[in-house]
Amino acid sequence: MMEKGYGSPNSATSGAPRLTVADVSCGYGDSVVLNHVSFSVSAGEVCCILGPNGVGKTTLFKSILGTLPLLGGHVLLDGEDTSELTRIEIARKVGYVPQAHTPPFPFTVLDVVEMGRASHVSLLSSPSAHDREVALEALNTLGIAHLQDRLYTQISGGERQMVILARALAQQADILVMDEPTANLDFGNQIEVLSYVRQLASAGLSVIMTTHAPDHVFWCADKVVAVQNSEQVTIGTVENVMNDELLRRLYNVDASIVSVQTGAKSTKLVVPSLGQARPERTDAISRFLELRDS
Amino acid sequence: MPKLEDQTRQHKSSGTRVLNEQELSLLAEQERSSGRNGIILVVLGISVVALALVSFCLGRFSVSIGDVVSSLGALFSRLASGQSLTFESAVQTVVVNVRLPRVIAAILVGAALAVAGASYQGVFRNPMVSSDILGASAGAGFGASIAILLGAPGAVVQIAAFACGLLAVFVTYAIGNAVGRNDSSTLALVLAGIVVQALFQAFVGIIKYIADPYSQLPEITYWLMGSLATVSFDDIAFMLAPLVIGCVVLIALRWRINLLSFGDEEATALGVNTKRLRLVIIICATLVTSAAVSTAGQVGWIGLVIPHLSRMIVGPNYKHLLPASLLMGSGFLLLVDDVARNIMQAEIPLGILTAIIGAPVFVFLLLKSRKGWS
Repeated sequence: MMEKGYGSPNSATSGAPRLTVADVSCGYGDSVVLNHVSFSVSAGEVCCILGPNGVGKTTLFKSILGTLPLLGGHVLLDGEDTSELTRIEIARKVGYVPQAHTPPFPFTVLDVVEMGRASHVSLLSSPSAHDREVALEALNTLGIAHLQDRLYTQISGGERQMVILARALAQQADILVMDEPTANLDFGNQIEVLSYVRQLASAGLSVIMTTHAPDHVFWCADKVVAVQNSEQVTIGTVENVMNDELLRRLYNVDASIVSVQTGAKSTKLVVPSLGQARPERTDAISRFLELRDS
Repeated sequence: MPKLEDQTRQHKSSGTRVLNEQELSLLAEQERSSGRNGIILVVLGISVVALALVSFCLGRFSVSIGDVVSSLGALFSRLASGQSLTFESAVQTVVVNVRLPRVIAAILVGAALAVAGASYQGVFRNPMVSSDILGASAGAGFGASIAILLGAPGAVVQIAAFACGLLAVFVTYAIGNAVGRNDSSTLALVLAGIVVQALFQAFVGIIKYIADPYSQLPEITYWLMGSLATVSFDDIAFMLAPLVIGCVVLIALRWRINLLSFGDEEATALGVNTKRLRLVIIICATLVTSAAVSTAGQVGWIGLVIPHLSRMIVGPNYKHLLPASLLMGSGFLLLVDDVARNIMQAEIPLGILTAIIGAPVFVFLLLKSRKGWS
């Protein structure tokens, strides 16, 4: 069994795409959710997937992870077609960070992180001392080693999200696929998770993540895949793709992207225009409130 | 965050990086807790042996522990030298020919039902299921009763029990999935199990109705209530192979059952072939259930209560949970069988006793864990 660290030594500089989504169509059976999507992610890159609720971001993830059969196209990992890789080979290349939910049994945090070693543990055995060591190092790396003996079902949502990230690190895959890693987290934990995403990428990992907060794109992404509907997908670098027009098309809101100078650094922010009250809504609301009084 | 960068850099250079002090102490802590479970398993193992020895002593014909040991010694020396196994002394006959098969059967059946229950709970991600609740026991009971009705030999009884048990589990699973819309809701699965169980009990009712009331009906009825009273070495020989094969496979795969409890998508992403693993585990759990049922009848509750008790002692990680369930299942059934044959003049059927003990214990566990299970 081959062992490897987090990313090969020169991975942070290599330009070859690690994950290539080539002309992929995905969906369930006859119903196509996304058509002809192509993009790639290289070492050290963070790719954010934006799009309204229910547009098929999760479906795309399932297709990349191979839990849902592709309706067309190919997904390549380091140039190899996933349809020719075994589950274990895929798991050694791609780590999945789902939205944390609680399993039916109260496992300890270390038990959960150790499960990230499944693709390195042979079928009929349990994790070895080395696997346990890797799991502990993953917890240490994220600064949550103190949680190891706590019950996974009893820690906070933010901690649980970090534990799931640690599990994916323990998998020692080069690509992390993160499904709304900041959903249900308070502001502090969102920043915490996103800064880890940024730093893991700087250290050579590749990250694909979905988010509902377009601000996050400016904070940590290099690339954007903006899914408007099954046919219209905008792909490009953050500078090229992110503009007011895109946000209007994606979310049907008026918003402007502004540059903010904080100290020496400049950041961009999305400022929505809650703006003018809509007269028809004001009327409807006041009619309803009158109803209550009568 | 300089710390992270340091750490990641260390990761890159480390296959064999020296752990720092803090990490070493954490590892040592883990070793201790893992060691604690190891000690618990050894203690459980010793308790099972002790309970088995005590079980030889108890009964209408009381035997001293010294006689038990010497009789078993005599048995082994005869087995080793290939002599006949008919004993002259009454003590030896009681220990070897009457109580030994019973003790072995209690150990095997208890272990089988507990291991199957724990495995089903992991595979279905549902702490509220067991062989009984999924309908496996009822299905196996039906298959075995048909075979008994037709006067089939022991091996056929086993096969019929296994086939019907497996059918029952898959019907339950299918109904549960359809009702719960594929999100394997706990409640949907339990309700589906109740339906399937009721259906197979009705089938068994038909068989009882048409069975010969003087010979077959008492046999089927008594056997369904659960008993080890008539177990012979031949019965044990019949159940041994399926039971041991099933248990060995489940024990070998036990750590992977953990992965399934996170759901198919996550388990798949972790590198598990979920469909195949689930199928293998369901088949093995049903195999050991039906082997146990066709020998001992329907002994309920063990598969539900014992895994819960074991979880309270060694935690939910199947690495330790499955061996602990196995040993506790054996010990529990030895104990219950001792009560069954000693507390009253006539023997009490096992299924009745396990229900009387299991039901309140389970309510206690529910109250203690207070874990929502919707």
